[in-house]
Amino acid sequence: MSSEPVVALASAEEVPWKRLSAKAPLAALVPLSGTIGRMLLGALLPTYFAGDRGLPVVLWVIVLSIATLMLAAGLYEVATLSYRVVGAQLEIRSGIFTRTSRFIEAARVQNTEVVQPFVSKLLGLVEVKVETASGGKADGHLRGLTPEDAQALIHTLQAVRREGAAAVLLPGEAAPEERVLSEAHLGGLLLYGATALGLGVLAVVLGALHEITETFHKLLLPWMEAHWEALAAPGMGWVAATVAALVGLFGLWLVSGARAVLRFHGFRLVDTGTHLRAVGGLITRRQVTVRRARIQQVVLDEPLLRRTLGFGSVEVETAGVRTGKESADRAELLVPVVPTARMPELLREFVPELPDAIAALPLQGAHPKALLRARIRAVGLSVLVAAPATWFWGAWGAVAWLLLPAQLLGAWFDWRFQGWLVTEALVVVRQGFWRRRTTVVQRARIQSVRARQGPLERGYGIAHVRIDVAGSHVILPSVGWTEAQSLIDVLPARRPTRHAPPARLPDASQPEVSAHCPPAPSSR
Amino acid sequence: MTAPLPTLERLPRGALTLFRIRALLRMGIYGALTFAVALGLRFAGNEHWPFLLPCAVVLGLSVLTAWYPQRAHERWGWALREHDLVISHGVLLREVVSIPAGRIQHVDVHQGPIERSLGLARLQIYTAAGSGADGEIPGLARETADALRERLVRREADDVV
Repeated sequence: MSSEPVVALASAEEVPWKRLSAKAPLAALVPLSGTIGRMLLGALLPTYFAGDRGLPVVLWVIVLSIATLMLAAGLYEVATLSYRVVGAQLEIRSGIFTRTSRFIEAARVQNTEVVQPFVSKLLGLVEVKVETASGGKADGHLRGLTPEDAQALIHTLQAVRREGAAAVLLPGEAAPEERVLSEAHLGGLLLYGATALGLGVLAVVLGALHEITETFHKLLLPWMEAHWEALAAPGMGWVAATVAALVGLFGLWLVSGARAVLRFHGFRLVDTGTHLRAVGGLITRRQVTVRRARIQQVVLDEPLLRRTLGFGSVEVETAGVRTGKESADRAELLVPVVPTARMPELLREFVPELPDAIAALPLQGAHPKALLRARIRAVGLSVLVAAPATWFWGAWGAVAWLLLPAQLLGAWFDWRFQGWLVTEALVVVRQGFWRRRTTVVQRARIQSVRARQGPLERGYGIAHVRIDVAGSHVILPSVGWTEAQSLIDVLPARRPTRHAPPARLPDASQPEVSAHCPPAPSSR
Repeated sequence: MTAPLPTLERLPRGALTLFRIRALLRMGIYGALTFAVALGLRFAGNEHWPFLLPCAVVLGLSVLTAWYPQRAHERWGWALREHDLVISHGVLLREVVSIPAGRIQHVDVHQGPIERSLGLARLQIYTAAGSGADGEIPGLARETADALRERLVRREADDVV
């Protein structure tokens, strides 16, 4: 891809600095408090669970003083922040005593995000995040802009990049000329939530369990002791265990469903021509705008339960690096509910070169030796869990040995249903059976390719290949070591270089290209 | 499919000295740390067995120091081709990396005090892929590192990722 022309809009002297809204510190108060609260969780949790045996008062005074100082510093930064677009750069300045200036080149902007948390909505403000490929958080984060200023800023950045000005709307607004690609309704979101039990859900449920245990001891235990004869009937233990398991499962689904609705309520993905825009959220409305030309990787997430119910989710990643424990949190754009029948059509919106029948692609399977490795891992994991369980809980703990056949079966399924394919323009990788994930990477976007072989893999003569694109990566199923070395040479699309130095080495011949690895076109 | 990897350039002899010095330093640091732990255990009322701990650590690391640097030096290699830079390394975890020419964002040359005294440098290659360096070649002669850096940054890079 060649560099984009830029337009000098004005000289630095002519462009005035713009300030955030006067209400911006008020809007930033809640998110900043939340951020600081998360940082202090390490101090809060032991105190919460240990009651009086938590932190001593002196330490609490120190912790709260630090928290207050951090909050004041954050609010001070918001209050003093100003910005402007000069030439081809967004310049952000904050601080009075220690002034920090940040310059973001418009051509490097990967995506922009307009967020409207609940408090900001009450104050009639929005937040704008401008992301480049440089790090793990928004490079330009402007909290507390008026919608008009946010619109003007994004339009200016688009004008600098010589893009057609895609309408910048408040989260929830729609322009009539836009094409709707996907929408999510309440029923679909509840199904999505019920099939997406992640770490966040477990954390919430474990917290709730602590509260339930307290309540049980205070209220239910005295009642049970009063009616002990009726409750101690044969078989009541099994009934109680079954009810507890069902209630726990229902609780997990309920929390997961609620999280999905909070995050995606009113979800809508539209095509504005050069951009894709997704908007959704119940309390915090979030609007993400992604340039089509900046899409690095598309992941189709289809756990078994979702496949059975006839839908999947699509994660779109650009080079804007995000932090998050789960892949769904790291994706810049997530389409939560896509019916299986509409999947190929939607995927081609993101990756036009994708073949029609993605489900029927002739994928090359993983190396046969990889199954042996997966089995050894399954046995090792099962023994690690089951042996201590048997030691501590005797006959009940021995039930954990049922993990062994389950793990072995899972290993075979995962090995059998993974595969990879290299087309002229794309690399397609499918991993897993229970949680099937199909990743599509454009070869012209590959930043580096590495073949890796650990000591165990060396014994089997296999290796794995990792493909890095900006902001993300994908690992191919195991292949032979020789093939892995070939792939690192074949996978990246050849890019013509202006100053091609003479080859330093005598043996720089092009490799033979296999049926699976057709030559890639040079970048467009 | 045959392996297309070219004949790799090897690291200079000085790099082996560098690897050995690093291994000795590592042995000294871990030995001192475990000795401090052993002293703590001794003052906590244990008999003489805590001092077996630093002895075991130093013994294990001595074996590694004798064996690992030589193997690591043999495994390091690099090749600059028209379309990419190939780096191969690793004793336990073997790795071959290909960084396409147009994808290199910037190149760093580092020299620590030991490297400076040996006339060596470490080259780090960055793309837009992640937070760290995508490729690294330690123990290059300073002149080689500078020449390689010059050739890498002079290539036309893609303007956007």
